[in-house]
Amino acid sequence: MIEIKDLVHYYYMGEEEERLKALDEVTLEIREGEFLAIIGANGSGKSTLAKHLNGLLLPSEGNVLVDGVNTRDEKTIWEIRQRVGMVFQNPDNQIVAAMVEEDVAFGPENIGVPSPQIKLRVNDALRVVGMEKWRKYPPHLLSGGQKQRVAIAGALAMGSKYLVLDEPTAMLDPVGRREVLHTIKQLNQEQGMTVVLITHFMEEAVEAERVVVMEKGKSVLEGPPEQVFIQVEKLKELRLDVPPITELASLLRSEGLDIPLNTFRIDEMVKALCPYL
Amino acid sequence: MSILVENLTHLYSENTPLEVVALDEISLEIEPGEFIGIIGQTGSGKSTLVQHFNGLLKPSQGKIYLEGQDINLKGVNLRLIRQRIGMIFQYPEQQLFEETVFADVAFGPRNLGLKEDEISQRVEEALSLVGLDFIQVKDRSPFQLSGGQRRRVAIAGVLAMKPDYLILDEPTANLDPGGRDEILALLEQLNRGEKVTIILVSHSMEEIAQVVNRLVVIHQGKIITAGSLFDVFSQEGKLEEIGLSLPQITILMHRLRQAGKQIAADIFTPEQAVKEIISRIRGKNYV
Repeated sequence: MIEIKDLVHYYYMGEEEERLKALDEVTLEIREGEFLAIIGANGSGKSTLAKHLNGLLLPSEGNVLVDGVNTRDEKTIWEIRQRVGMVFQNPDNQIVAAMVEEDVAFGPENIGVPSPQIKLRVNDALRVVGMEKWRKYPPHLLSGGQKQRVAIAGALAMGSKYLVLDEPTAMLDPVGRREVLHTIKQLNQEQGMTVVLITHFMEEAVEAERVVVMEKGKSVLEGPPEQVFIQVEKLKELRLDVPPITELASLLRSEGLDIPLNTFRIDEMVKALCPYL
Repeated sequence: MSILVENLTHLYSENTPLEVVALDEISLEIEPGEFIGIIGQTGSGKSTLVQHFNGLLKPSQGKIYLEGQDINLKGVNLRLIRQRIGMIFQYPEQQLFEETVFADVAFGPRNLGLKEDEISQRVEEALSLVGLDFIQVKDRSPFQLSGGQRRRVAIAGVLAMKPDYLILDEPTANLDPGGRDEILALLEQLNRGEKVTIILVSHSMEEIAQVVNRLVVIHQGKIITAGSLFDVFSQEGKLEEIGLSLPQITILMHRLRQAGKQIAADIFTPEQAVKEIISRIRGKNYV
């Protein structure tokens, strides 16, 4: 479990007095095995929050505990980073090696895993993300979605238990986005990996079990997608999108139609509408 | 009076073993006042195509005419053409470089050799068009602004040149939904209010369906289909094949029709859909 307790983060802009409160007393628990989505406008603090989950940033106030271990403790920080894998937005900024399998092996090599074991881990990780065919490829010849899957494999090869993805699909085209989302869901469902997905795309967030909405450094809305996404007006106020089918469902409900609250997908909407038409 | 593209072919690494056909005999005309969308996957050639419109890339074969003038002829003043056809690249905020917002937006007009008061007036106009307060931001460093604001400063820099045509390559990439809607609203305003011809390159159907009048779909360097939103979106299978998906609402309408329901297919947004569905239900109850 990752526990975030009264977390405050300040960014200092030059002068000591000039500081920006990026996180404002955030308290949140990330449960083992869950798929959590964090959404919010630019500047709402969601990326700052992500960087606290493995100690890339340390709290100005409050605490972050990963399986009971405080990220403030320098002695255990490497242990924490191993447990909490990170994937960032730009796939080109996180690939280090000249061949896919070397890139995936980079992390385990650095922590001194013996060679035969590294081989096993790399094989496993590439298989899970569906990239074993490309193991000998130079990463720069891969598509954006494939590069992100290699980055995810890198976290898997480290034996990470938690995977934090900070807008992993923001720079990808629709095909790449679908690939990455599919991989994330599969990891969560089949490997039991705990996933924290930060995203701007609401159609990705509806796939999560729980959604947290951030605004001005605070968590302002939290719950399963069917509770969060029915609050159409509130989300629009927060400069967020409502998935188009959900927005339609809400408009139809206000016209008196009986559309179930968990109508997010096209086939669900067809089913709900057919009796009327 | 238009941008006319005639049999445009572009080869990267021409005459080498690595030769790639990026554009393959593209013909297209963009009329003044249009709001046209160019959509395609990453690597389809859409960015390569639009970089020919103001002479940043030269055709391997074929011609580009601006208002009847072949822009790649010797002696054509490309600076003049680039002033008329403004180009906003992907992540334009990465090109900001001046110390203040004012200096950055003023850079283009100053290079035109305009007088100081005209420059100042243009900067003020351009910043107000993109929704930034001149007094508040003019002396700030662009790097102190938020990502969305920086992008608007970059767009203002191009608007200050008063282009007749504006090309934007994925202008909403990486913005949050609020920021994206602001940019789209700005483009609509420029098109309707200022009569600027807009060429919007995107891979998002949802986004493009909100604003354009005409759509060109590019795949592997060729135009696969072009026409009104209705014409293009009626070819769902073809678009799916090349990895583009229709707006969710349009797919819903198609599914309902496939289920034998009487409902219009040319519906792109939730607002349009609710009107159509309610009027169908009322019509049915009335009969």
